Amino acid sequence: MIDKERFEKLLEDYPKAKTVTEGAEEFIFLPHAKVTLLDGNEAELDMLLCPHLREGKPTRLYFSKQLKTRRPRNWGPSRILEKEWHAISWNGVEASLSYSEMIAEHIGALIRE
Amino acid sequence: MLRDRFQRQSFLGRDSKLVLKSARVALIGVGGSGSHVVQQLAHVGIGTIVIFDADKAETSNLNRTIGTRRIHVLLRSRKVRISKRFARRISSKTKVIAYPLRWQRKAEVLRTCDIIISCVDSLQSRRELEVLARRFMIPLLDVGMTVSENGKKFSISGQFILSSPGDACMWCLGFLTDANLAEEANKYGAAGHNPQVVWPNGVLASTAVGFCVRILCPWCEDRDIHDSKYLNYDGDNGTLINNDLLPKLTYGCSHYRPNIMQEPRW
Amino acid sequence: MITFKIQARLYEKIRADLRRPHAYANERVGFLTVGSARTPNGLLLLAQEYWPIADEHYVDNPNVGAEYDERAIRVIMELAYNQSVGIFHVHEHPHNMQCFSNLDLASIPQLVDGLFSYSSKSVHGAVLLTDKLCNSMLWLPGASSSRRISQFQIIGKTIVKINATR
Repeated sequence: MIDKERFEKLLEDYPKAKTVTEGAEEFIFLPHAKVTLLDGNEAELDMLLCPHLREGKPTRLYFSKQLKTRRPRNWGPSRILEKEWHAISWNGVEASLSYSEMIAEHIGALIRE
Repeated sequence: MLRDRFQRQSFLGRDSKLVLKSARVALIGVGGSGSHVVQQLAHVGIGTIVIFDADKAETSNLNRTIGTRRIHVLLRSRKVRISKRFARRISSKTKVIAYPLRWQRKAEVLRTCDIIISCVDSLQSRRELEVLARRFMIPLLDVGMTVSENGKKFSISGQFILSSPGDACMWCLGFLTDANLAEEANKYGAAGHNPQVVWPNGVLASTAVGFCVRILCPWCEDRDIHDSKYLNYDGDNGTLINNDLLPKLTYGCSHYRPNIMQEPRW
Repeated sequence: MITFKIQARLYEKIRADLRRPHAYANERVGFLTVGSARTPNGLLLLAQEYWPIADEHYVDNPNVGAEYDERAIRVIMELAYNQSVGIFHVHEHPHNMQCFSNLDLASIPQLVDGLFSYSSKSVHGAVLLTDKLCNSMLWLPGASSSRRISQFQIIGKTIVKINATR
């Protein structure tokens, strides 16, 4: 379940965020989010935050497309809400963080060298 | 004198030939079990079979994949192409639409299918297929077999599941769990090829085809409170029996609410 | 091609409800929430839940089959708005009378107009059930004229397909 208070806080950083549901799972959809890569380039894409245990990870961040990073990443596809999403295999972003922190940690893991 | 090739299955009903001919069945995976399924669907007279498989024929397939020969391995033929030709040789009237890719890449095609038969090799794929099936109100038939180590010996087992819209899903049945999906995800890249042999695949595939035909042309009464089914296959002793969890559940599904049945709006 | 799918249990529940006698209404009416999805060759309509009109929301008018008051309308407009979903009026005619009545033909388009104010991106309409066939009228978002369901499917232990009334 999405925590209402944490979601309200997230809206300060991502005002277009909204909750979406599939089956028994709830996600946070972040449309047209901007991700700044280490080389300074900015990518605009949709993101889907799963703030609960999924596919063996405490939380997951899915992207609408694979991002080009300097270091190759282990991308894997997942189909959610009739769209294909991409996530890297990254563990350790805990569900106790605020939603903004979760997103930052996942993006940090993606773009770090 | 040529006779009606379906005359021996007239017990399926007066209109059965037409019903089966107008049916559109999707088959996800045409490997060990899927190859049996496509053969039987063609024999029984299913009009349109939509098949998905991204793989090419390999040497290790030859011990069990119906219709696959050494020449296919040498030519690196697509599994869907082999299946399509094989089905068409059984029945030239069967329309086979073959997609040599992961089903997720062209999932919209599944929306117009009457039934989906899943012969995939991952729980994650099953999870995603079931979501689609529930969203578009499509009965999903799933089969799978496993060979596990049992001390110094081995044990063959498997399952047949009918996930029926509105009734128990794979989560309700305890077949999909967060724990087993996590285990599968953590093994990704480290897993070798699982042992596979032809006869359990045949048993399970035939069971799936039987239920597929029963959904389209019911030939018998079914007084079971449930529309969903869950059968456990004991490959060591050759039995297929009802899983004992399903009879304890009330009709319905606690994981997919009615409002899932809609194209998602973003 | 427009295909309407409904689970067998829901269909049986609807038929049973519509056949229940009412203290003064000659017929019963209910509503279905209906999701929609595009397909490569048309549209899928997916029946979600059934909402019968409450007994006390019927109007005592012996000259018509069924008439309901603004409370019933408010319920379905709220449903359409809160769930962003399509609404289908559903009733049945006895003796396999397959045609919508003059009252249906006049009132249902007005109802649908109202529904589009609350859920403009959904498909709204009506289905008329008989034992063997199904008649229908529906409006796609932005469309000025109605269309019909091509095939009605009942999904349960078996799949029953009913082609549209001609």
